[in-house]
Amino acid sequence: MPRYYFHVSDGQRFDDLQGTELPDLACARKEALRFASGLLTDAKPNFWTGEEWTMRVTDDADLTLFTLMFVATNSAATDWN
Amino acid sequence: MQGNLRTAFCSMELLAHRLASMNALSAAEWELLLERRHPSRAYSPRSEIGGTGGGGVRHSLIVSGWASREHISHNGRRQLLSILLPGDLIGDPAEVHALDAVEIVALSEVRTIATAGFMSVVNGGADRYRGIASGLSALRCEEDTRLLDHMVRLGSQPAPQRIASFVLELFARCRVIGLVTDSSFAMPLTQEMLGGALGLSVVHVNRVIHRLKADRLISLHGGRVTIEDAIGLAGLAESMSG
Repeated sequence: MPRYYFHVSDGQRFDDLQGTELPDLACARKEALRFASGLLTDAKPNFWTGEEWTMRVTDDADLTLFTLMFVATNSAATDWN
Repeated sequence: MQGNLRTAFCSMELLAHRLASMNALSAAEWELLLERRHPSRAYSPRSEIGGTGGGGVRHSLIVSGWASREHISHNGRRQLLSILLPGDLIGDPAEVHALDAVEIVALSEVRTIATAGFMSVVNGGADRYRGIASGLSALRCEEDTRLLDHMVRLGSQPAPQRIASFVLELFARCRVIGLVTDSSFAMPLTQEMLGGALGLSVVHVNRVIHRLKADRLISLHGGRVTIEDAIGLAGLAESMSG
């Protein structure tokens, strides 16, 4: 089975050196969404200050297969809060 | 997959000590528990031990190995509802439990002995075996409490807290049954199993374990978990921030 590496930058950098074996790219995409939703659920307050949240998924050769990016953009209305 | 039928004879000693830790047992009760060794049945990892797929609940006692109560969704995702360790009972002839309908799967090589005969003797001699009966009831209560704790863990805890509290719970349970040596215990759970138990993706489990090791709260070597900083790990388990 191919091995996929899920590198995350969310205020602190997590380089996935171990990787995870998954059957194919479709499974890697599904796993990435599940992982991202778990991490975003527990996101720290700096996520809301505009810090970019990125997950880059690579193969064994460090080729980037896809990237997930999230960024919170507050509207001017939230300046009141 | 059906478990194989290699037979070895095992005692109920572990169950006897768990029951005795809850209330005093009489000489007759110790005799009933320890009087003989029982033929055991072995199950290879991933084989089903009992539950809906096995043609009814097999009342049994786990004498070695780890198993889990599992729910498998239509999309194939496994949710491990609880972990069963040596000394845990499967099925209760005295009353029907919702948990009896849940599949039980061996996580490592598991050995069980049948308890139907033992249970009918206990239930038939209520006065003579009052200590055992009340201990069995306390064991059921303990599993119910663990399930409630697990619901809270899944419903309201961030990933690091989930893993920290789960590891601490397993550590405490292993200590009761004498499987802890120098703050370490064998944990035959893959990261995929941990994810299945804790509602986390495998990579999320991987990341949190990486962090727990980097923070020197636990270490992992050859399938054994060592609690390096019990106070720190407990502090993380009880905190509310990720």
